Amino acid sequence: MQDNINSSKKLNGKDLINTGIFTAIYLTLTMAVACTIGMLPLGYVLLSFIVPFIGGIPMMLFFSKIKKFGMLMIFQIVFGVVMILTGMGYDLLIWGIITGLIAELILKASRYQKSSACILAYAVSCISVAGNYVHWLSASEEWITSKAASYGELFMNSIKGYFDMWWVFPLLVVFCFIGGLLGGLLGKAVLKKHFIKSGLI
Amino acid sequence: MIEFKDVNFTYQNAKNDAGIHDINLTIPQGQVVLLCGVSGCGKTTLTRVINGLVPHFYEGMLSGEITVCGKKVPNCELHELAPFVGSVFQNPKSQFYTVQTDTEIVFACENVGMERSLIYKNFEYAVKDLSVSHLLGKSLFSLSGGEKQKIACASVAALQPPIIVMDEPSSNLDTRTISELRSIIQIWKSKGKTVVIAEHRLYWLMDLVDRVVYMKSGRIQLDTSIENFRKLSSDELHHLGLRASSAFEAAESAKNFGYNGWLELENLRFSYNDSGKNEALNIEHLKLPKGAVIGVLGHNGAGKTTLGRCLCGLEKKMKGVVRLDGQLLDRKQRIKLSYVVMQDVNHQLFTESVWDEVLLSMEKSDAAQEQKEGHAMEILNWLGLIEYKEMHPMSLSGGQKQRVAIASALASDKELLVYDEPTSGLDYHHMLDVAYTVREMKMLNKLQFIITHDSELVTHCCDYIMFIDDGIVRICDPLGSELNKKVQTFFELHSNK
Amino acid sequence: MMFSEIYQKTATSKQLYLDPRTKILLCITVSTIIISGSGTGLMQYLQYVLSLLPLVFLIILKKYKMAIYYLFIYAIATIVPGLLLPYLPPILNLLFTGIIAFSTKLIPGMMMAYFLLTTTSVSEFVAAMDKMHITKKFTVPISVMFRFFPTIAEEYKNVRDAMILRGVGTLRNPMKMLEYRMVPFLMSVVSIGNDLSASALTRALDAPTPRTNVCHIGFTWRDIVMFIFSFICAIFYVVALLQQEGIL
Repeated sequence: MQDNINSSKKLNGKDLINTGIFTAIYLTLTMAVACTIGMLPLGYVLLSFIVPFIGGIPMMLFFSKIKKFGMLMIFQIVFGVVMILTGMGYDLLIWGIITGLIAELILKASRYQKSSACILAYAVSCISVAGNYVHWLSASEEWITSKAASYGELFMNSIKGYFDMWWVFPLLVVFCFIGGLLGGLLGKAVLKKHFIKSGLI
Repeated sequence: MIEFKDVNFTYQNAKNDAGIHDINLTIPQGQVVLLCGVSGCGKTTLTRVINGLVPHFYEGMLSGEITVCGKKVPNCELHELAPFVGSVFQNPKSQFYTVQTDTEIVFACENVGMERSLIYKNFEYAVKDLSVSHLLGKSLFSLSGGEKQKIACASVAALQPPIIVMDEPSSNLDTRTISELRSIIQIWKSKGKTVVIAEHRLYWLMDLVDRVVYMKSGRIQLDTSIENFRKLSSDELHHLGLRASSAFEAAESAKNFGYNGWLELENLRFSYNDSGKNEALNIEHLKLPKGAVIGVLGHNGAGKTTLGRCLCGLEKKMKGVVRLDGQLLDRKQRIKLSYVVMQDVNHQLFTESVWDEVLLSMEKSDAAQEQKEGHAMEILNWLGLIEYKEMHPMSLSGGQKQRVAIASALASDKELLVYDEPTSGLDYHHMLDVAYTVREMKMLNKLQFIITHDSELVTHCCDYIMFIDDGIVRICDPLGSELNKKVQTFFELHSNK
Repeated sequence: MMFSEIYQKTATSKQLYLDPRTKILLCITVSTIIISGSGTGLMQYLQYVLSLLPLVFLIILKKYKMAIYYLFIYAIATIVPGLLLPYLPPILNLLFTGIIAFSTKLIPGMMMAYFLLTTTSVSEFVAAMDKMHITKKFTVPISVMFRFFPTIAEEYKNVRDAMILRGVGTLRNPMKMLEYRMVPFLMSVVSIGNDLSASALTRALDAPTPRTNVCHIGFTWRDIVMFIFSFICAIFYVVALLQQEGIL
């Protein structure tokens, strides 16, 4: 008898507002961590683990509110567009859409009920963070090779070693995924301890 | 017109049957109705049924017939009801969607796709009726709570709905703003709108409403005209759990203070800008006795919260000297010695049960575990929280959360306690609980500052009064016959017509 | 008619005299061209010109302090990596020095984003999106996102103050610190979000009819100039790319 606003499959105002709020939280978190830890040597690489890990708590809360298709996609797209506008490149958008789609399908398959699906979906969507690194690493390599030329042949030989480090990028993807899994588990534990117990979910 | 026939509603995740039951009510167009009752009585739920948030937003089991302006509420979408029912909520800071005042006022009109020239006309009417033209062009984040609430009213009025529903709109507002709010409702009444107000601060509405509906445990217990309601004595009102008048009743004459030590403030200055202009606080000299309960009064924006924060050491930019018992206290020492029970309690509750929350404050103490637990039980008893011991603090109602925050303040064993609006959502009995606990703390010689607009709380536990206006302390004296009169005038509502 | 910004018809100097859509286009142009493509030949000159664009805007807006900051950061990002390169081990060079060098490519883009944010109000943004026929599914989250940034800052500050007063959650126990910081913060923000949803929905946020926007935005001759400029940049970009591939 009651026309429940949540029973339809379409995204309504409440869902859109929630998406906006969590995008804002995640963006702020990412920027804050990137501007502190990302500035340290190797910190930039560690970001691939830290951001998904710390982001686990707010994102698991977000995922618990996802009951329909689309909220995650909007989140990824808005995040990606913000990255483009702030000059960080379009890679995040592309990776975000792909990982977002996969994550949405995972969630849909579990009918939005299982929290383990949420954790997996979150970990998958975190892989998009690795997308950030694609351009950076290749550009970094390019720059180094272009500079190395002016340092002489000995140096050039040591640079050859770079091209053997093909494992760096896949390692980053793995970091993101594991960071996402652990962050998701952490998020689930915190949710259970606080949000579910207090009835906010 | 609003009509309820055999309406029952229980929230989906309800505890103890929370909701409303067997409601039969008819409100004719143009009537101004007050819904009152203790916390949890169902008045807010009733307002939510009128504007459709129940069942479209707050899920649960709804039965019965509800007709608003000829529309059946459960069958209508929220956006269909919007031009008919406007809603003003309790918390000023969570009602605005845009960032600027102008755009906020026209927000509803834009959403329904109103034609531009009509929007301009409605905008002008709303601004004129509610006298908010001085607030145009400002960012909503820079406004005070009262100003935000007025913009919320303007935003709702811009759609020109025939029914307006208000859920505790006066929480956290000072007497000046409440007067302005009253004028706004007066204007709506004169335009023939139906206004339904859920409140427990009754005094500002006594001259405004036509009818009073008292609720208890989700049912309507009393439904009378305002004339009959006015005949109830203060005691009868207190028995119902309601706040009576705003009158401040003078306490006994002041006792002697000062043998336990003093807190001294010298040349306390604070401003939000680096340039030092626009001083939010400028106190030349102040001497306050330990063991006193100091009521800090003043209009919104006068600097009360700023003073509390500066005293506790939270503001780095503060200049000046603070001495306790002659000893200079720097900022870090003050942080160790003081505690603020904040206005918005959600920020201060960290753990998963009330019991843990109280024990968290005692973490630093060296006492034995049994002693700590005994003390915790005592505090929970004082504040009537024993039955909620194992519950998560966030699952409690607003008033209960406030009391948990106060409990953790008391458990922290700190010397300087600042309470920022501790009773803003509490009904009569719980306000008395808070006053009782404050008096208990007095015995332990703590210095307590209570920032409040609640005259009844001041009556029951304050012995010193401080008036702040524009960052300057105008008066700071123990309560006595002359000061009593000034306090009384402060709490009196000025009629704006 | 009383004075209000909702009656405003054209962009003013505060908004850099430009329509939001033009600003968005410029952001995308600057960041895309500068990031992709290596910095040699024609491309290099193009990238220098585009890096200067934010500086020009900063000066028009009279934000001199920011202009100096921009030059400073750019200088550091250009000079420092060259100094560090010979002294660090390869892995560090790949993952740190190279990245600093790469940031010269990001800084102009970030500056353009700074403009976009400081010279465009949220309602203008929404009006621009509506004019571009972007669905409500995106405009609502985006406008809520902007509206929430100050709220997030405020709530975070409050939780941090509460933590300081209670003396809990210091770096000594990082997991507890994370919990104590995040949980009240999230509860608070979610609670505000719920209230906001209720309030917005009772004001017809969910209405299926198209929205009227009182905020006027429109193109002027300045926007056309910027469009032509972007177009020329795009042409040079394609030419430079082809040149690099060896086709031209």
